[in-house]
Amino acid sequence: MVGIDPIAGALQGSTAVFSGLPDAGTQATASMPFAGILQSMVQQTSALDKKASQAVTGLLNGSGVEVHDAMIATQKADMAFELALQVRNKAVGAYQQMMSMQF
Amino acid sequence: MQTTTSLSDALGRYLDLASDQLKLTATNMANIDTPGYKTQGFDFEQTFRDQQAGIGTGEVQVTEVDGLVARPDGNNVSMDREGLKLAKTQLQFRMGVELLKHEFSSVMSAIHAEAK
Amino acid sequence: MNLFGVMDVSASALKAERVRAEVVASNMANAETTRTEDGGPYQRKHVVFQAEGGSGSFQQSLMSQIGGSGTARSSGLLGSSPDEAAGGVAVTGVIADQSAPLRRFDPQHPDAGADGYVEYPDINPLTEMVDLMGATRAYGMNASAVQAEKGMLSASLDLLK
Repeated sequence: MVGIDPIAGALQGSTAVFSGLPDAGTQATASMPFAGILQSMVQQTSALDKKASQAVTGLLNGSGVEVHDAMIATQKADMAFELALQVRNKAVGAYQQMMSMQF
Repeated sequence: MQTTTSLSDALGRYLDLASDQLKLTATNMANIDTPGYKTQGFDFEQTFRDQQAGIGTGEVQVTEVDGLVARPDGNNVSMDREGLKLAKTQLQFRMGVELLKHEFSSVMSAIHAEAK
Repeated sequence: MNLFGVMDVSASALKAERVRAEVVASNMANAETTRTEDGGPYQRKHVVFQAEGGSGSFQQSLMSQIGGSGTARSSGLLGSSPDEAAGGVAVTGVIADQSAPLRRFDPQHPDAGADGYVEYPDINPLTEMVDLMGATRAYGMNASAVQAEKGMLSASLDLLK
């Protein structure tokens, strides 16, 4: 999969901007829980994707990775990606809904 | 604009090697009754690793296979070895195709993902 | 030789093995034939196989298809070059065995020679049967190779789905 690392880095940077502190970290998680959730989801997806990529490369190299291990790792990465994607879609939808509310 | 990954490049090379292996196996099988014919082969895993690491010319080195017993007419093609190679190569090719399909489809789903 | 060309290789093997089986059948049918058009008993026939390699080893023909600078395998989209499949097998000849015929003493036989001996072809049915079994298993092997090649081709077509 195309690397999700740049996105994770950008997300980290953006939470820092929003919370007004140079080093967001847990502060962002506390004050902006949703951004923290999304960031951790993207990070987990990125990590699973890396693991899946390594497993498949190991399988191709013949270096002892079993076929089912590589398939399971790939599927896990897929599901994490789909989940993060749907969470993002719902979040954007909720935001748009909020913005379209008129008083 | 990058639409391929290092994994899809590796998978492409894997499929190339698998199809080369198939051609070689088919040739060996066709010549199972030809007098004096020696089995030809190459080291699949080693060639793949070399191509991944970028060492060597990237070409497939086809050599005669050692360790096979020659029949009185000089032919040393082993039916069992070729049959096994054929089955294995088929599965390897299919695995490579499935993984490559998955690579492309996950990029496509990311492109197509739309927010509601 | 692209992936379609591989089927030509296996097809050449199927053709060659079929010729071999036909020759065996002909030998067995004529095992007792004492008289042919050329006169004399039937001569046992056998086939000569030869590997087709084009101008060099498999390595060379494989590399020549890829092209010197790694360009696409564009030589022959739907088939290999007009000549025979490189790497396949060809029957270069069906030649008659030159060994001496079997002689049996039978003065009553219409084909008996002056000394009362009749010449029969020296065909051992066991040898022919083993040959036929060899041709059958080689044929079966190459037929399953064709199946495998077909499967791989359609799997690679699936990439587009």
